Amino acid sequence: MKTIIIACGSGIATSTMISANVEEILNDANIAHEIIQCSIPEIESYESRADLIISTSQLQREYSVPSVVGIGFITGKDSEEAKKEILEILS
Amino acid sequence: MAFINEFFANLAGLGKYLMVPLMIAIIGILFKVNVNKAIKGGITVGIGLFGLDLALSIVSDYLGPVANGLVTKANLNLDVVDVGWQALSGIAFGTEIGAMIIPVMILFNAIMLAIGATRTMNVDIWNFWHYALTGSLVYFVTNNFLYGLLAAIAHAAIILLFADRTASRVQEVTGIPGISIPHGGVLDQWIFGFIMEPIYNFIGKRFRNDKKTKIDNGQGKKLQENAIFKIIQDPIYLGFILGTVLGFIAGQGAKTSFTTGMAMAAFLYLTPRMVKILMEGLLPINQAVQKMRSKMDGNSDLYIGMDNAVGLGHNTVMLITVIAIPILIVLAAIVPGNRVIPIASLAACGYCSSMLNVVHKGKFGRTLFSTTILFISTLLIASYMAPVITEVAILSGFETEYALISSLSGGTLIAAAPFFLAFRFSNTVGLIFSLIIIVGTIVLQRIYFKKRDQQEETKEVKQV
Repeated sequence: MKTIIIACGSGIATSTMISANVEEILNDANIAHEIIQCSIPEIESYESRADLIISTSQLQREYSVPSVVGIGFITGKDSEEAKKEILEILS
Repeated sequence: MAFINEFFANLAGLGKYLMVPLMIAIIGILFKVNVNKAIKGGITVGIGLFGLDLALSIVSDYLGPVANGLVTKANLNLDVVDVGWQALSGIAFGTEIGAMIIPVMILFNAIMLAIGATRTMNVDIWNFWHYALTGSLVYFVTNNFLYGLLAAIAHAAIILLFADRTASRVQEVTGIPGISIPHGGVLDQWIFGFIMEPIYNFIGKRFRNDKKTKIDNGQGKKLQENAIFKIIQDPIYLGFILGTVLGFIAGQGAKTSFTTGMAMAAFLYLTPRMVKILMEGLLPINQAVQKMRSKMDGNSDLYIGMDNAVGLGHNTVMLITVIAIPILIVLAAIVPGNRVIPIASLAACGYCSSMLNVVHKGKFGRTLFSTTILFISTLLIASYMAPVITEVAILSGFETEYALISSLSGGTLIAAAPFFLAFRFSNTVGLIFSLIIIVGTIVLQRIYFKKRDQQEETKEVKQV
């Protein structure tokens, strides 16, 4: 079971869209997972039980788990790279 | 014309809990979403609207009386509760205009792209609520559905103009290639930013050298880690503390004051979660639109329209997100004519500065100063618009006895106010005003792109 934090500015809009994409990717790859959606300042409170952080913008600090910028899932640019990166980290 | 108005009057007769889900399901099916998903999406949006009204009922049940106390007992002229952009978006999507806004805006954007009047493809359907709000206010004052739509379209047109012209600057500051920000709530930031920037430049040149205006990573980080700021950034603490303090100021006893604190914490915690449900219901349509877009990806010249939240991660904005909270509270207390008690918008101050930061290219002092001045005008406009916003909310089903509501965040009220005022003055004035903006945008943008393309061509010829 992998736990993934998906964070955006408010934890409402953009992160919901990224979640839908990530959900699809992980289902296709048969990876059991739980997604936590939150705002960027809230990451910290979920950090300890997460395996990966996906955020909409470059994070300004280091966390104890690896992070990926997921804006590509919205803009359509570099989304393949982000997908590869996510699968690499989780497998 | 009469037929269309009648149709929407009948549709509205269903009430938002039926009307909006029905429209969302139909739109989903039209966009070739799987029927099951489309219907489920519609119902989910309905659940979000119910949820939002439940959260908003906290305002009228618990916060309204305190706002009354502030006026009668503490002699403060603060009688409007700030419900924030989240609640405002739900109210806007809950009107007849809101039910129609998604297909109308997608069509309008497609037409603008086709006639070469924009390069921005706005797929951020979530933020169409800004246009829905403008349209709903105009519909409210004119009772004419088409005028409402026209005002919404005019709002969207001017936003596309700014999105196109600021695209390269946005990309430079945020570091995300290929995007622009056609966000309905940042018109005030663009206009204000571009008025202030030359003034700052002038002052900067005259009086000091402009070297140490960018902040480094460390400062932002330090403030973010500061225990006090961590607490006031957390909606749970912020709501509880603010509610309790307001209760005491309004002359309530300890029990009522602490209950108000709990109520406010609950309101700030629940509202975003309810809005998220609404968002989930829109997701199938959003994905369908994204798929349509990816088919058109051959044209690399297009900007992809994004939410202004992409600017929130910038150091300067992160810093202002926290500093702005006390500034806004103090301003609310001292600005003459203000009636709004800042509550839900306090956690969203970053949104009010993210595009100012783009205009000022990340310079901290400039962005902070501009944000502060903008807050003052936002307070006044939010105060002025409060009765109308409350009326629209009541018409869409929100029940309130005590509270006047308004919002400081979202930025839409400043953009919506001119349209509302024009149409309130007279239908003709509003009509002409809206048409001038739409036609003006089309003409200006076509000239702009033609010139730009010519320049690029000559450049290429030279290089060859």
